[in-house]
Amino acid sequence: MNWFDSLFRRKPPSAQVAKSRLKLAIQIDRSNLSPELLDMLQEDIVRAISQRLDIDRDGMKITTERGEGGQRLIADIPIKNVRAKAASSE
Amino acid sequence: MSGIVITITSGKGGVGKTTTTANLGVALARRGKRVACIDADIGLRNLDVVLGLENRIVYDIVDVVEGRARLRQALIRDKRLPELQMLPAAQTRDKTAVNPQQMIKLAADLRADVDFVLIDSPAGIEHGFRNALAPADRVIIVTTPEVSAVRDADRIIGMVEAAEKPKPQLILNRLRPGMVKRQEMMSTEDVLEILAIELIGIVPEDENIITSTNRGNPVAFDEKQQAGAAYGRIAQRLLGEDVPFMVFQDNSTFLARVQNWFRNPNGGGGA
Repeated sequence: MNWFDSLFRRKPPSAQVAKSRLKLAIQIDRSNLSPELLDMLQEDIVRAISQRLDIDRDGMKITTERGEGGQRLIADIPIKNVRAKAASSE
Repeated sequence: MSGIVITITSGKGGVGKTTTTANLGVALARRGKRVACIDADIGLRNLDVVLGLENRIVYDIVDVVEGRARLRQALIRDKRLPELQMLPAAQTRDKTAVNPQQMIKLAADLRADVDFVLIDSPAGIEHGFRNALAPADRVIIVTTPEVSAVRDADRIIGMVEAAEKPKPQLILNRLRPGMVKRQEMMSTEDVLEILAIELIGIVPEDENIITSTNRGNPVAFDEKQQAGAAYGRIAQRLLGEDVPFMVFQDNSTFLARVQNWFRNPNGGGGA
């Protein structure tokens, strides 16, 4: 919204809003990572990280998020015990 | 010569697939082409009432597929337009009563007798849609200029491509020129930019579609009407003619309604 619109509290035309919302929704639809793929990624991550850290598998969450800079993969992995694994690997 | 099988689909329900199938059938038949319309929406039969042939049904698509009736017995010939025939859906069965192989066989049998086989696909992306898509040589996607319909159309386009069918063509249905002008409805250009497929027709919102459907008399019988003419032009494009796209008049203003009334006192206002 430019200053003129905001001065008169005018909303952008609804067709324009529809088009931009649709573009984003369709972009997400087209590139959506399947739940199966996310499960596989989770397994890979668990395998890699478990070599160094003791992690809480049940508390782990893998999600995707789309923002300005494109799509990103977010892994939230609770650590159970840092020292135990670090020590045993030496 | 073998007929062409065209599947009319949309993803979203209620955007006008059945109305489009009926009217394209009429428009093609009026141009002397032999047409068979198949209602592939098993369990939710509707093409029959839109075409005004509901009182003449004896056998349906499932009877043909299961061998209880021959194809020619089940096809209903339109008395107004002998080139037009319809194969009704079964009303008491569900979509699993027919499979894609059976649809391919059915279409192959019909191809021998007609110039065009038009398949009215059910909404959705499941079994019924797969059945309707399987025998298609060409696919027409119907959408309205609304976010939900366009989004579903995009999904369907992806599935048609995944099924290795030729790139579908688009009919933009229920366009309201007045709203587009006020920028309160996405324009043809907006929708085409998003879906990136070829346009084959634009049908304006027109009250005559409702009144003609009420009577079981598809609007394409009367090409003096805006919507009827729009279907006529789509038929010509299907026949390979290069027909320019119309710029529709805005019928929503009071003045337009008055002008329209003088032009066509019996036909209703037309929005």
